[in-house]
Amino acid sequence: MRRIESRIDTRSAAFRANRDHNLRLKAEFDALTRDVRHERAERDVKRLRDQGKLLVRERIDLLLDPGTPFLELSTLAANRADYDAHIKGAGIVTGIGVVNGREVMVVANDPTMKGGAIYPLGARKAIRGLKIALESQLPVVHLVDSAGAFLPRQMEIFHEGGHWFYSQCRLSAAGVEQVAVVLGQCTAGGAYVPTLSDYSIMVRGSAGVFLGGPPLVKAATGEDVEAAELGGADVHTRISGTADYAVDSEAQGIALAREIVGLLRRRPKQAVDTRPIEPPYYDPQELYGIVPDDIRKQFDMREVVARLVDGSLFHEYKPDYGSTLVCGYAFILGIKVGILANNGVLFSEAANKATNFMQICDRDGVPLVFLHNITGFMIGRDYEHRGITKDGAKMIMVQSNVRVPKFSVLCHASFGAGNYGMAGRGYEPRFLFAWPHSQCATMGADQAARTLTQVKIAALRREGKDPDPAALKAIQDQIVQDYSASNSVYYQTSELRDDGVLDMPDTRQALGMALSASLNAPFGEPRHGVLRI
Amino acid sequence: MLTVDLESGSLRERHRVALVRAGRVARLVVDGAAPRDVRHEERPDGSLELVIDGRTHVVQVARRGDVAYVRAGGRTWVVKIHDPVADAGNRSHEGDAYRAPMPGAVVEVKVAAGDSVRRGQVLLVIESMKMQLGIEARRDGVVAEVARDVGQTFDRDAVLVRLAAAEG
Amino acid sequence: MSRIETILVANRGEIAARVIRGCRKLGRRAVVLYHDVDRDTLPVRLADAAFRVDGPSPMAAYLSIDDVVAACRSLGADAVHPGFGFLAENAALPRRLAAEGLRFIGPSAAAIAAMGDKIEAKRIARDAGVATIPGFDGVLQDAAHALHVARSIGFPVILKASAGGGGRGIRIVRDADPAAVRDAFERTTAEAQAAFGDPRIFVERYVEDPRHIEIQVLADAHGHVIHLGERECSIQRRHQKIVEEAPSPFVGDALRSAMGSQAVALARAVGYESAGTVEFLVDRASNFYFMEMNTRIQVEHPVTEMITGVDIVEQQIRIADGEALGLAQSDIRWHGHAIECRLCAEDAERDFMPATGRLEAFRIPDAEGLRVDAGVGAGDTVGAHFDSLLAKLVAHGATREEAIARLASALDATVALGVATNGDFLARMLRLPAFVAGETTTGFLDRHRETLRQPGPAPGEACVALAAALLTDNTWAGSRFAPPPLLAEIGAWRP
Repeated sequence: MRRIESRIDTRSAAFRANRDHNLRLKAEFDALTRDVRHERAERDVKRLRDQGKLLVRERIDLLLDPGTPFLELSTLAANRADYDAHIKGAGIVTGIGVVNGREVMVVANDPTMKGGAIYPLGARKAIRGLKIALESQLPVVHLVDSAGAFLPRQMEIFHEGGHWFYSQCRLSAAGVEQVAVVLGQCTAGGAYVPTLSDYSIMVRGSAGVFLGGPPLVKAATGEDVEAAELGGADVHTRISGTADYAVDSEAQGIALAREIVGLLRRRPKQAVDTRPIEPPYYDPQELYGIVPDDIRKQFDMREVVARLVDGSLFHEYKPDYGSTLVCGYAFILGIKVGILANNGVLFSEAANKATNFMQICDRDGVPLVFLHNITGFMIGRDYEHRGITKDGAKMIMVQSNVRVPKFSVLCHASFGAGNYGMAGRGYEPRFLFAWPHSQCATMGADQAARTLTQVKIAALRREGKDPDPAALKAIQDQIVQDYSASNSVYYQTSELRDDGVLDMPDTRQALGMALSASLNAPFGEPRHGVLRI
Repeated sequence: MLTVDLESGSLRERHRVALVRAGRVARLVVDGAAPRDVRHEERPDGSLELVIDGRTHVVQVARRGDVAYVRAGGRTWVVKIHDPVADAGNRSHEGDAYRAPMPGAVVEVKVAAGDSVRRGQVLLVIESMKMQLGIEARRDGVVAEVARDVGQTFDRDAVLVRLAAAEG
Repeated sequence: MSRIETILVANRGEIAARVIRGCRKLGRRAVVLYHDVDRDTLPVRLADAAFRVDGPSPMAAYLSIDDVVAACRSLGADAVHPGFGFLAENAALPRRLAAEGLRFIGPSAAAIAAMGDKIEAKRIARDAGVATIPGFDGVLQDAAHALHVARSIGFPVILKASAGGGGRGIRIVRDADPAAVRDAFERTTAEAQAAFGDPRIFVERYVEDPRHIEIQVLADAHGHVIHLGERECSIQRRHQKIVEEAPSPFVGDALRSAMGSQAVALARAVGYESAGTVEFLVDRASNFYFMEMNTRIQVEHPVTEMITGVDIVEQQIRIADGEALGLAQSDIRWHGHAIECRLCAEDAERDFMPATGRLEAFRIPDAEGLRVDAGVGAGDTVGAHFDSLLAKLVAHGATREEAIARLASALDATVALGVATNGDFLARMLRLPAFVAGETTTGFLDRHRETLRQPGPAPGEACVALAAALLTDNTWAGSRFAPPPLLAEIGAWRP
């Protein structure tokens, strides 16, 4: 292993231009993140305080061990959603934190967003959190406080809600523990969240668990009953046995949840190769100046690796072959990983090298980190004849079936089949993060514009008409605009196509936490598909 | 985070504290400040050696329940740790009414309305299914009402005795 | 006279333990009586046998002469050592014991009665040639009489209960103000009646900021009387001693000799036997005046023992056996310096309010030149029934400085947890420059009150206490707090 030699000149005009651009993007990202996390209507906060409740992030702070990190996931979910308002974070907070020394998945309603009502993206975000918990065998702590489904959108929530509770059941059968603290209402299907959990804690005075709340009961049978009498903490802990513990305050409930997590059975983590943690030799802040200000411009991914891995040390595998994809070993926060990073278009050689490397890592139990900067595979007659499609297929076949955890970071462009080969969202990496400037789609906006323009021209010619350059340009511009909007990372993250947007220098910690969390599940035995040789 | 009360002479302080252990070194977080490393070792004479912020302190600690008496630096502290979970007293709305756990009859009434009772004191004795059971007070208090007399029968969940509402 | 074989120690706490040890040293059997509140205390554990007594209050139980006799009969004791306090200066006790054919380790009932009456004691002293404070040694009839007498003595004056002691029934009047004198007379009379059952008070000149220096005497039944030198007991709070030392930094050979011979003269004058202490007030000009005689062993006797090498309890027992004093005055030598401090269960930060509780930890480590007379051990409950004395720490050194240093570090090393004590206060006091310089007069504590106030904790000290408390908290010991090292490395990060 040797330290990557950086060839970046931090004083060059290009570096400075990139940096200015990326810092602008960062400022925009930070502002949006801050708003989503902390800005709430005074009216909503006051209502919460009047009820004696804590804000969702206050609850999480009480839950987690002090001095430990919290990897919040998909913070900007629903930021571009077409809902009746900006439902920040989709009304749900998920993330990985440490409780009494255990890594757990936290799934918490945000009662300041429409009383914690479940929106379609909120349900999907919770399900995504549970899926991560299942794959990495992380105990789940539910902090429940929800008014129920957002009824105007119920057709987009109904089955998702069902799937949410189904996920909890599968988690339970997989041996993953769940602790629920009910800090507010929990009606209809939502009542299943604590009830399907192994341990259910209810706060007197605010927690209410019932299949139908007082208004629904009144409407259905004419019965008049108050929330506490219908399904309050004492009813469910003393009479029905639906919940396990009744506490007098949120702080007590969360403290009790902490105690329970501390008592969960200890399981050994999956062993991987490690070495003492060392910060990168190069400053991760330099990433702002390395990543170009234009999605079409290229740069050497090794410079990114150098600012991500311990000591900037990297052992490159097969360095002289398939140079458009860099493979090698490095350590991230002490854990050995296999890195695959794009440095150009994917040729057969690069794909085959990657496939080879992934096989070795899979057999040896080395987690894989994919750093995306790919517009696609090389196309054209010669390449088809030489089997580029077959080689891409082999890469995808091996990548799909590795037993080791996969982690993807969209570092720049990630389009088409290249995204597939590099373990894009469809390939179920354990975690997928995106950089604020990154773009991900079937193809880039420009390419889409050109392709669609070609189609349009062909169609016009079939009708015997001549293409009008101005009209064509207008079409092209429109396509570029539309694609740019939907390719934008904010739109992608809004739709939960990633597990969160990261400020570039934060990638190291995020990957470290993701890696550590993933080791809670054993890798299992290798399995192989059929390779079309 | 624990709530901890400190007393020393006329000093009274309350802090929010968390201690994260990791073998010989713990990390202490006090009132949201940055975590501090605390290296700790028990000496053969029973005293505790702590290294915090690079300074070594030898302290003596004696405990009784959730109170610790600490002698450090020529001063004695009384430290009371409030266990947030244990503090969840049994103060439910139900707390003052004592309901029958099963149907049966009253065989003995040991208190009357107005009596002061102590926690654990038997208020009345019921019999059911050939078993006798003493209904005990869950807290100190005053009897407000004895709802059944000797010989009377009752159903499950019937209120047998009520205590007057506790103050505070 | 025959040898005493079994001694009943009619007392409790550290002095009972001390006397029991003294009995053992001479190979005598030591038994003790106790009230239930003292059932689990050190003296009861140390004694060869114990006798349970009861009473309307624990205090009353130790004041019952009938019970003392019953204990002797039950436990087969042939003599009683009364310690100090309780019945030690009650003439009725030796009288009753004599009637019962039991021996009393102390002076005669007559000597006790004579010295117990302050007015009478002063008269006897004057007749014996002992310097006394200008005053009126008769009984004051009323406030007017008091004023008249005060005027003739000269202000400032001090009014004292004749049957009093231990700092109660005492009032000072500084100005020749009739109203002040009337007020002082009425209040002191009332206090005397309430505390001692005897409303008589006498008045004498008040010596401003004196030193309180006392002489230890020993006398046998054969007319031999010697003194063992002086003790300086000026550090007092509310007229109660808290630090004593021997020799006094103020007393030279000449003064010692003069005070000593007067103390001996007084002892002879009352036909004294056993150990006793003659207390004097000494002014800046080295004038000394008789105050009172304590016809018993004193709390602070260890400092004399440590510089003379004489075991006073042993001497008391031998004297009671009928032996002649084996020591002549010329045999008495003083080596080095000894200081004693009284470790009490009181909160020095809250005006020395008595503290109660359970001694969760109590340990005074051994040290060179250190003697510890303790009445409690770890696990003992400290109640409010009796005085707050837990233990006496006595340090001996070749010089006064060495004794101070040893005593201060013994206090630093003392572990007493669960009940507030004055230990840290005493350590601070010993280190005061004024104390080290020997400027010990009865006004010492008042003068240095502000300086002796405990300084606030240094920043970070609270954290040490918090860390210590949490680390030793077993309810949390079971939880696994440590995060995986990778996460500890990342620390408190949010993306």
